[in-house]
Amino acid sequence: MWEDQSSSDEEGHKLSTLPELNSRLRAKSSSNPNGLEIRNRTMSSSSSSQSEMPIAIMSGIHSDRIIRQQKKSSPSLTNSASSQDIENQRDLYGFVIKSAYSDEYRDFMDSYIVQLQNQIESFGHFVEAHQSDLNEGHLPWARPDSRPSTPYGERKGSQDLNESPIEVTATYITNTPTKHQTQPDIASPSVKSLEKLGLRVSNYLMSASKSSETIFSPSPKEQFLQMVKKGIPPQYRPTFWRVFSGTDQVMTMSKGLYQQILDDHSEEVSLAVQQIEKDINRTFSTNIGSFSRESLKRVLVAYSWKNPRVGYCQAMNFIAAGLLIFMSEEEAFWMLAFVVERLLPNYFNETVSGSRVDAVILNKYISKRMPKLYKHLNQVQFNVLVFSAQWLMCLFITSVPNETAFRIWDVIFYLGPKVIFEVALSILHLLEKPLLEMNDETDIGVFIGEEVSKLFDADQIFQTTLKPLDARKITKMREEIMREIEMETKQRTCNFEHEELVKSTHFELKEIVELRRQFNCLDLKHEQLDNAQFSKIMHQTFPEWLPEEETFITRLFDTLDESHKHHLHFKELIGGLSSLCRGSIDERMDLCFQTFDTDRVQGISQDNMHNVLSAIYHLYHRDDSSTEVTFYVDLLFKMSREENKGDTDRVDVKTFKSVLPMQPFIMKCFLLDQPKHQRMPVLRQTTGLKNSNELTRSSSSSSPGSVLNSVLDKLR
Amino acid sequence: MAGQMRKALTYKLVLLGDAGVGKTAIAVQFVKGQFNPFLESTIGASFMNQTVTLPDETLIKFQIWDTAGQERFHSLAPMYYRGAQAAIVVYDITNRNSFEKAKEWIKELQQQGDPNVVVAFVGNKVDMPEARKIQPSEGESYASENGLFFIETSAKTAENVSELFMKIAKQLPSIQRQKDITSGPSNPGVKPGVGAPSKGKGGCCG
Repeated sequence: MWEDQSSSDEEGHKLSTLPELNSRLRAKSSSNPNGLEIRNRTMSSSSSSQSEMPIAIMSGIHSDRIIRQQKKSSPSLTNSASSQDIENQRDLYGFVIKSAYSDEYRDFMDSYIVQLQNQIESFGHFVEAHQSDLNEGHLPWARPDSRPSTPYGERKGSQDLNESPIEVTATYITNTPTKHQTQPDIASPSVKSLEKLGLRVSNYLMSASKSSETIFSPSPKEQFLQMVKKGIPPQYRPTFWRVFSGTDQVMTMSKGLYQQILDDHSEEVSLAVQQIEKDINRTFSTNIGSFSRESLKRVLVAYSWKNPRVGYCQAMNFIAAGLLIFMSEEEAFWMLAFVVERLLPNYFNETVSGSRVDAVILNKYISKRMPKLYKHLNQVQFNVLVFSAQWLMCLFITSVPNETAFRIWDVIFYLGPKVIFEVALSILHLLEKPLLEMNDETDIGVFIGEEVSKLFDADQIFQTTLKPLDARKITKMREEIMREIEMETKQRTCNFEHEELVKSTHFELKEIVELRRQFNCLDLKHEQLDNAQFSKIMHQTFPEWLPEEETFITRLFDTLDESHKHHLHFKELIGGLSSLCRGSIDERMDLCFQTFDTDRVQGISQDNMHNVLSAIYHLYHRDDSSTEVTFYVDLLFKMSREENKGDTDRVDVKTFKSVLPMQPFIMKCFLLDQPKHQRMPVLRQTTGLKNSNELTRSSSSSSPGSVLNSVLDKLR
Repeated sequence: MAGQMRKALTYKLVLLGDAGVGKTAIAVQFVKGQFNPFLESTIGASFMNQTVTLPDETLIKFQIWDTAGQERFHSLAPMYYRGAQAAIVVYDITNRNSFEKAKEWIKELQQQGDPNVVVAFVGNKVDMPEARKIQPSEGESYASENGLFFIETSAKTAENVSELFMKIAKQLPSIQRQKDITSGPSNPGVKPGVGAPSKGKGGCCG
């Protein structure tokens, strides 16, 4: 795995994607055709002096040679970055350190190097002592057979202290894949899934917090946590990140899937893929060579196919790039899956709702842990989302210096999402005093951004006096707030729809709100109305219609069902009721025409006319009135033919409207006999007629026969 | 506020528009006078401050809120443009889709934003005339229909970038004064752009 990444082939990929580096290398090509020489040089100089140390420590990681090269090279590609870049110091990972902070960085590094050396030693021993556990993908104390745990400090195998830590790593890392291959199944049931790992982590947390209170000497787990908090040395990160996240297991179970996904979709382009392509060079653009941009693209593209619901969301590019600094493509791919699906659920969906959920949680914790600050931020109307979106979505990597970010990742991957909040709170705690003095939201945003970008010492964050958070509580809160946010989103969509309906219908807002309330009280599936429910509503709204007469109502239902999905949304229903109950004569006539135009061809056939008209007759009196209907239909088509001077077999809108007043039952049914009707629809669950008097009254209110006579008179 | 001549008038300005149209590039060109073709994609929002001096010596401090362009960050946007006195809605003249998105942003600002907000409708990337998809006339006419002011810029060559901010700056105090005179502390019902005539008549001192 490791060799793959630093092979010269891979290197070639990297170079080809980086115009900057290309131009730099072209300029230097006489001395350094591929940069490999530089790596060798830095590796050999690893123990020379303390100021060389950062590079020596990183020499397992390919960025070192670039760091060196950067300082010497002069040509550059952009007019802006050029002059600064040369001056600028770069950090362990080849990222530019702002010149304003370079002194601070240097001071910090002097002391951090010592810590890092110690860490390399500690982790070296730990890895050696627990290699088989780690190869199986878990930590020693999580074994199901609860074998007595080995304290990490115990030095088995008596490692030569003069041995280069890098070589130890190299041995370990080359061993890992071989062991994986010879291991067909996951041996331990406790590590079968990511969920279990999560459980283990939270169980561990419980016991760790208890034990730290009751027992004087810290448990091995507690000791290990302290070790993780001091920073996992870069060369050990891939191993521990995989173990912490359960990626080891997932990779064993899904062997080859990553490549399979890439192969399956190699020719395909999607919106996500296009967005990814645009973002590849916009990811840590000042960084040169610590990760391959080709790899970054493949990891993101593969993930977008693996999880099409998420596809690609900006911020994932930064996380993937951060992972690729340490890990192979396949590992980074599965780690990204872990981050997107487990650590930051719903963060990257269409509405980034997860990030809003966690902003609410963070805000709640600020109010509990730092009430003064909370009150102050509220007073100046500062929303935590202003910074939390970036902190949380990118797991701090675009906000804090890189080593700080990776040290935060160490602990987040180990203990889970609660650490995200603990870190955010701890940072705010560090800045609380000056923040209390600031009254402008932009000033606060700028200040936080600047302060955080020079937080070189992650110890400051982890040595907080704030109490640790309860992981289970956070899980619960996430669920609850997600539900609330979903409700709110629904409400907002509703409000928007209502406003649109005020514009498009004849109802006032308060009527629509009331109709929605009644609509919501109906027993509906997916907030959609079926034919039977629609029928109940129509009978309540038009009590004069005879009960159990469904043919016409079904016809009306089909007319309003614009999407042809055999159900009506609120919008469709209200649109129809508006035309019917409140529309102008013309609008009602249009609806009437559409109801008769069963074939939706802007022309009513004789059969259509006959069927719908019969249905309307049946709405008003049950007797078979087929003669009357036939007579009327024949009459209408005779007129239509005369008017169109041809043998048309369909009646168009114009003719239809002109002869409508001659058909009393249609007029009645579509309320066309009442020029200014203001009927209010009734959307109630209960069946039956509300007012039976109304039925008798309205059905006797006009005399269809007399109208028919007058029509006949006119036609003679 | 009108009396304090030496002190800068502070305004919050928000940059909106589709992903990759050059929002950050415009801000960086204005604030730092630099251009980088591969600026980091903005997540959430980022902030910059820049002060300009108007011909009448008024100091205007812009608090620039640069926002993420990807569609799915849209749900966070109201929080970012809340309270902004100026908005720059950017599209890429080589990308039709971004022009449509920009129009949606304008609509949203008109519906949700502060009615006093000065809105600039900006077509960026004029340094790529061969790839142009949106003619200046199209942007111009949309802007005038909606009472916005229109300008085409290049964050790469800096063309019209400082002009854009100067134009906004000139219009801001006038609206501020108008607000002081007409309605005191409460929000006057001025529609976007009423105090901001297009075609560069320069609202400020006139």
